[in-house]
Amino acid sequence: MAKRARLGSVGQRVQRTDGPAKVAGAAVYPQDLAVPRDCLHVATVRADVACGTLTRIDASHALACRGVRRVLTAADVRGTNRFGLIHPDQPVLVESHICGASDVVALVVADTERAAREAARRVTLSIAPVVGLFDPSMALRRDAPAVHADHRAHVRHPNLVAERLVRRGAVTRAFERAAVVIVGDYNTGFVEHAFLAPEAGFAYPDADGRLTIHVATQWPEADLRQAAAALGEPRERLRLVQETIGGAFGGREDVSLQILLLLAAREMARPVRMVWDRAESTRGHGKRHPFRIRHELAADRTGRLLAARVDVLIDAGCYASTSTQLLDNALVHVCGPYDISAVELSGRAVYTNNPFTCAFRGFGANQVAFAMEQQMSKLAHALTLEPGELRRRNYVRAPGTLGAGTTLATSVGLPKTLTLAWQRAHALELPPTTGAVMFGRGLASAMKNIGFGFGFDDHATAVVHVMRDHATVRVGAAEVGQGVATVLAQIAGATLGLSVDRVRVEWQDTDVAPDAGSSSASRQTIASGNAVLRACERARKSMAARGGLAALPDHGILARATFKFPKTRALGVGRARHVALFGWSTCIVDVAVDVGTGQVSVMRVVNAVDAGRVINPVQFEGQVEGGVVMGQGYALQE
Amino acid sequence: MNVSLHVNDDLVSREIEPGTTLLEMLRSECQLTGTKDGCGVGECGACTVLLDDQLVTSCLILAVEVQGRRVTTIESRSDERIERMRAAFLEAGAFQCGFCTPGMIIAASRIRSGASPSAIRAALVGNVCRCTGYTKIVQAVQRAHDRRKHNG
Repeated sequence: MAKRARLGSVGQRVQRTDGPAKVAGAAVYPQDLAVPRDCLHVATVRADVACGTLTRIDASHALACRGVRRVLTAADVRGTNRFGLIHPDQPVLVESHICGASDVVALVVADTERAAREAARRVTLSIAPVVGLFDPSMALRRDAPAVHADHRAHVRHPNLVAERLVRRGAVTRAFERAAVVIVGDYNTGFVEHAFLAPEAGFAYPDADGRLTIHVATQWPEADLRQAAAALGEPRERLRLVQETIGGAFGGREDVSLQILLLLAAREMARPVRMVWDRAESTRGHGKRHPFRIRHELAADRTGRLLAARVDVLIDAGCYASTSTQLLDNALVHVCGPYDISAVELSGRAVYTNNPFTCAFRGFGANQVAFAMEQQMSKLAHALTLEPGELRRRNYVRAPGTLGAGTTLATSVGLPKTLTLAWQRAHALELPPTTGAVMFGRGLASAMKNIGFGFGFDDHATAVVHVMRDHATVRVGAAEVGQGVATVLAQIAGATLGLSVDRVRVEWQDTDVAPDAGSSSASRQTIASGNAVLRACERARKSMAARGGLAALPDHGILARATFKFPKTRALGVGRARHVALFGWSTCIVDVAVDVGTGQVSVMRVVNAVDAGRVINPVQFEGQVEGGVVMGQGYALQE
Repeated sequence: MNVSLHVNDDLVSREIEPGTTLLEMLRSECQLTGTKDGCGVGECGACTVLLDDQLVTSCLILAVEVQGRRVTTIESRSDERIERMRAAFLEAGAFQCGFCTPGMIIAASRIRSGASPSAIRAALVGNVCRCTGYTKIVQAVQRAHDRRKHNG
């Protein structure tokens, strides 16, 4: 009982703190913001040509339109005019070289949204088109032109964003003595995040010129860091306020309209607003990376995996974003959650003139899981082994090492997830195949990194202000819909002995909430959750010394704490902890295939997840159910 | 031009520009921003409202077309079926980012009581959710129907 009381609402199906506003239609998303009367409206002018040289911008017709105030171009940006999470290779506004069709060339600022959009269509661009590169292997040819004339990410080739080679063990010998070798080629395509709320924002200068932007983003501090450099503003002169975030899935980890709005607010010295429609949202943020994977897998007669030889070619599109990290993550996941001691893994991420890419739920783990699990199913078939049994024989154990040399410190819950999924799935028999419809059951095991890894200084900071009957937690963890604000209130409440409704979580304002890093890489419950836990534990100790909650001074007490993920190392030679933690799961899917049309219908999905300790089961189930359906879309429709 | 209509029991009358959609009028002229603009082409269902108790995507309807008619949005406080569905969504955790939720609740409120899970899914085919995977939405609709049954 005592233990239960200490845990408070942790582990309980607590209702979301943002729920009442969301079901009442009262939650304010950036597109819903009421703007002041003197607010101006901004619209973009995009290149619409994937590769070329911009020679002239004729804004005279646009400027002649009623209500149009100004047309902003690269000359107005002043700072580096470049942004990008790892390589600053993307222009805020194009100077001359066009790398992608969605490049923004100019901004039209007008009195109304309609006037801005109509005038944007009247800006005439003179572009000398150049034949573009739309295939990553073509882009790597020796005579291929450079996608970026002014930026080089890698010394070996101008279009190489990143290149990795990981070698462990005696690969050639293992392939020679293998009983079975499975070779497969796997290609995946671009995917759009399609979060439901298109990008929108509102920015304004203070009386002293300091700029504030209201927007929805996954990583406020990274947005401001990039905006400061691109615009030539000190970071302290910028502030970001989060509104309700209408989904993200990685698609809001990079800057979209943030720098454009801050630029317009500065140059016009007025409040400005921009709202993207669905078409512009689809063009304006990155896509999931397309992969080409050559996968060779060697096994002995019992199905024991001996070696893997894999090459991964990634189309990064026209801007790199986090492709370098994504390639590393892909190589860590490309041999699956299995114990393979001999590998040769090569990978390249390449610039093309295709749409740019960015993080998307899974961050490179999905594409390679598709390849590896197909390989495992083919291997099971070749050995007439039951697919689950083949996997069970090869699961990595902790402590242990994954194919890429990634060491595991914590537990691996895969055997349990396999057993659970298997029992549930096999409780129902598949219907007998008829002439018209065939039925099938597929199985896959998966793993996914938690935290950024690869040596990144991954941390979150929280401040808690405890009063006698309530507490305020300040931590900049973006509530993208995953429920982190509720989870943090549960953790704080449980630690301080307060009910969830007595805890307020302030995550929105960069002037108030300390940096908690990105809401991505499945990291916020652990990162911000532990920061909040530690800050609250400090506060509790201090409270105990003063005689408990009731004895607190009127102004309460403050406590601050930072959580750092365990130290990780860059991917390279030998064994190392590349990734702090992993999540594990096994999924079994029953499908019906129409023999005449080839149409696949999913009849049932059983997904068993090694969840660790669940803080809020409703939010946890929601993440799994949503992930399953998104994966289903990826596999069958998108 | 002038358009007058009943929105959630209030008679509203506004001067609007030709070509203004019902969605734009609700959001910009009536400050009822609970109805969302997700795609603007009638695909996503985030802008779903009731027009004389029929489900419509308000982005595809011109404000002039609804002259004198009755529009019900998520902000309504007098529609029992919407109220019941709102409570069920909250209890079932049938939302995450919440952007599709207003349109989803409006559409769900008109599903006939006792509908099977597959009939519920079919009825919500015009409302896209990218977060939840729909499972909890179906559960919320069933929960609302159960409650109605128990309350007689």
